[in-house]
Amino acid sequence: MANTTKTQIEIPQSVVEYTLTFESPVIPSGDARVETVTSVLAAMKPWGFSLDGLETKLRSDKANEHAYVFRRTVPARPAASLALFYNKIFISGENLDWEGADEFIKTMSAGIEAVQGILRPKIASQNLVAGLHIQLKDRPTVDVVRPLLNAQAFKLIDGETKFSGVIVTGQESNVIIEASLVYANALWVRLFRDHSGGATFQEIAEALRADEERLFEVLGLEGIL
Amino acid sequence: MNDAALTPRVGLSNTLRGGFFADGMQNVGPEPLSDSLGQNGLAATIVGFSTTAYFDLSGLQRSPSKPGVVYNSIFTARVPDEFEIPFASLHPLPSDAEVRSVSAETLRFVSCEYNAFATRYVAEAVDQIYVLENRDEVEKFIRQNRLRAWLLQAVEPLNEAFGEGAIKALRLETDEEGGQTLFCLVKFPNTLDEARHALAFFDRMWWSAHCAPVAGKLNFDFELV
Repeated sequence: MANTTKTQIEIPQSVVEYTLTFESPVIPSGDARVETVTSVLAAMKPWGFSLDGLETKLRSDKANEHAYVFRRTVPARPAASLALFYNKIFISGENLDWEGADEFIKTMSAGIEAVQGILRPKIASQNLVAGLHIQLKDRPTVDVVRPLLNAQAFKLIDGETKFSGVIVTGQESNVIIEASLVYANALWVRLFRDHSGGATFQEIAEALRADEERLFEVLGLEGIL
Repeated sequence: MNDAALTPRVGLSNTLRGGFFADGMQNVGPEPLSDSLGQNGLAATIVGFSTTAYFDLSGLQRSPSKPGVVYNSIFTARVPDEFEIPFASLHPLPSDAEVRSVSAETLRFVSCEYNAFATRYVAEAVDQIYVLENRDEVEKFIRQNRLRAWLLQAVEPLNEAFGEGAIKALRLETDEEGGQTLFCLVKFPNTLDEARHALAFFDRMWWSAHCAPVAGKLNFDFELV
């Protein structure tokens, strides 16, 4: 049941991690490697990615740890990166907001398309995880999460309940709500969702937006997503 | 190392000495950095040294570090309010202009790095206890007025007076003359009388004995919720 009184919140810190997994590893030859790196840099240049932010991680004995990591350098914040492994593409963004979502989606899509255009990997799956520290301004976190559990759950411990976390697992998604250890009176929420290989980055972003809005609705939160 | 050659050029024996610029380390507060934070700064600073023309990592030796103080044979960084950089050039000393250039760049780099993790140092501990309103402004005010230590020390007496579960918000208020005070507002769910009693208890137990150094800059009050 949704709460009726909205609780004002702020999200002081968040991270989004997206993984696109290939059906089988793609180990590029020397020429293809150079072409891929050059193309990804060119595709993502408009959003501040450049050679200065490129890291080559090729020294590990384990092939699945080899990667080219493209980091945004101008501006360096909010941090964003795209890492190309032999078996996946991993994208990470910190403290993104929906105001800048279009640009982020456009840039990362361009990076992914650059990889796909040259290496032509078959996509097995896509997965997105969003982690949000949600700080409540004037209501204790325990009050917000208490309605999520049956009264029976609180009999598991004796004495006063300081916080009650929740894990809800669905067919393609999970939601984990815990207490933040970083921010006072804050929740640490993680939203996981698997997507088909055919889903576009835009569709994945829209699904995340819907998940976040559902979370806010259920917990009775109000603030800038 | 050629101290005699270096001394007249930088105006100090074999040591560069400087204060931290802007609102960096000098505003962190009376207590030193933890060793782990010091290590972060040390690592970053070593990278800075190794990028200059006259120093490289082969010359780096570390003596055992003490908590809160970072030592090594090439430079010594003391926190919070000054640092020293004994020069130990591995190569023939550069020209006067080059010395000035390297010195300036090194000092700038050290200052920037400490600035960066000083900011994090202030924010992280305070964030675990207080809900910050207008985060950037409040964090800056805490650094500039060295309020971190007071805010951390106030936690126990606040909890004792108002209860552990009470939300503690930090709000920056500006008076008619433009003076600013950081208010810690305890969001109190009980009656006005109980809140007044708790605040008086807090004043007697801790605040009256500690308020003098930060008078006008920090204050404590409650808000009924």
